[in-house]
Amino acid sequence: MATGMATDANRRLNDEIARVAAGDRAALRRVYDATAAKLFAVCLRFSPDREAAEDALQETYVKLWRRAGRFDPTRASAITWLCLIARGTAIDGARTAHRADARVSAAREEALSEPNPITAAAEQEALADCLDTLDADPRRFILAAFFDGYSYDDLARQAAVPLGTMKSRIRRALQALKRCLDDG
Amino acid sequence: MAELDDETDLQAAELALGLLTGEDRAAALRRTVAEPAFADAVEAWRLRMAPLLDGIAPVAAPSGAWNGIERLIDGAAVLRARLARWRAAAAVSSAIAAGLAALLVLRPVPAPPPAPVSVPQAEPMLAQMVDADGNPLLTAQYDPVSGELRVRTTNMPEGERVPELWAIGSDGVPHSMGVVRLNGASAHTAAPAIRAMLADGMTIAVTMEPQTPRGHSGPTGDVVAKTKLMTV
Repeated sequence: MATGMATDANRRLNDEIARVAAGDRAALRRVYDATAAKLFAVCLRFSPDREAAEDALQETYVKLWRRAGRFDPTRASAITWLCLIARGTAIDGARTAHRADARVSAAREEALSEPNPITAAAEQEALADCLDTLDADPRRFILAAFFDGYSYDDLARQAAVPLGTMKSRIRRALQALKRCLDDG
Repeated sequence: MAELDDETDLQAAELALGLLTGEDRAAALRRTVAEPAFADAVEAWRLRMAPLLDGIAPVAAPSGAWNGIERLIDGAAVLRARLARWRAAAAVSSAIAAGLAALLVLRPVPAPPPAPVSVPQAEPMLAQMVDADGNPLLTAQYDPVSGELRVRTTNMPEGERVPELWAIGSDGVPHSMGVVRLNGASAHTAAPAIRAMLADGMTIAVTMEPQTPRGHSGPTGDVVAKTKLMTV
């Protein structure tokens, strides 16, 4: 796995997370100031409403406080790791609150053309290129699962196909996606 | 990283993307705990898909968020210390009880098998509720090991009605955790059905209800406040 951008900002953030792991509350505050806007946007994207997103944002930093020692800078950049914690926390919140009905009703194609705040440009391009090699339907299903928390059941119901059919189509696409990313 | 078989790697992808529900999801989550290689594969899939998060433009965080984070962290630290004391005290009292039993029991009686209680996780949990201005309303501390639930309420509306706590399960149905003391502290042991469902991230709500000793089958009053139960 690529380590992402080795920029000064990334290195600073990595160092701050090491301090958070040692129980430095001021370092947590500095990480918060540097990352809260991005993480709040991620929480908003994966929460059914603003209130739930605010809860998820707070929980994300409490998790950082408790788990900072688990961060491995050789696997991912700090901001990527934090964004993934925020996504997981927001999705879990939406799941336990059982507000699946409040999720957006249509899968959206997400633009990959934005500048690269969290992952390296090469990684973004590789993923975008490989997603492009998939058929339109399975690509849409995979993005709907990632962004809107759609499960196999939801997707099968929406596309009006049997669950087994939906499962095997997505699994084939996931295997193709992995082959493409590994070869790239 | 060790090469996993295709089936395992697909299951990891399904969990990372959020495609699984119910028992399939629970089974995959159990694997992340039991098999480090599987947990690694899930993480690898999350990282593969992470560039999708780049398209999300930053949004200013709400002004009160940092205070909320500090409150949660401080509340958790206090609770950890308190739970350590409770557990030490409980260990001492059961040792004393065992000693007394050894003195008092004159002939051996067949020991009943211990009743297993389903404890989904052993980490202590905390729920804190505040009003719109950030004033504390309710703090609930739950110890999954003993099943003890300690609740303190403040700044709640005084009157005929008393606060009742609800655990809102994955089915969206509120289950009564019992009536608690209005603007004071109370403690009780959670019912086995409630203990089995309490988990990190579960929503806890409080309503004002007419007084009964045992709680109600469903809430009748408005939700005064709600929050998530979090491990500490």
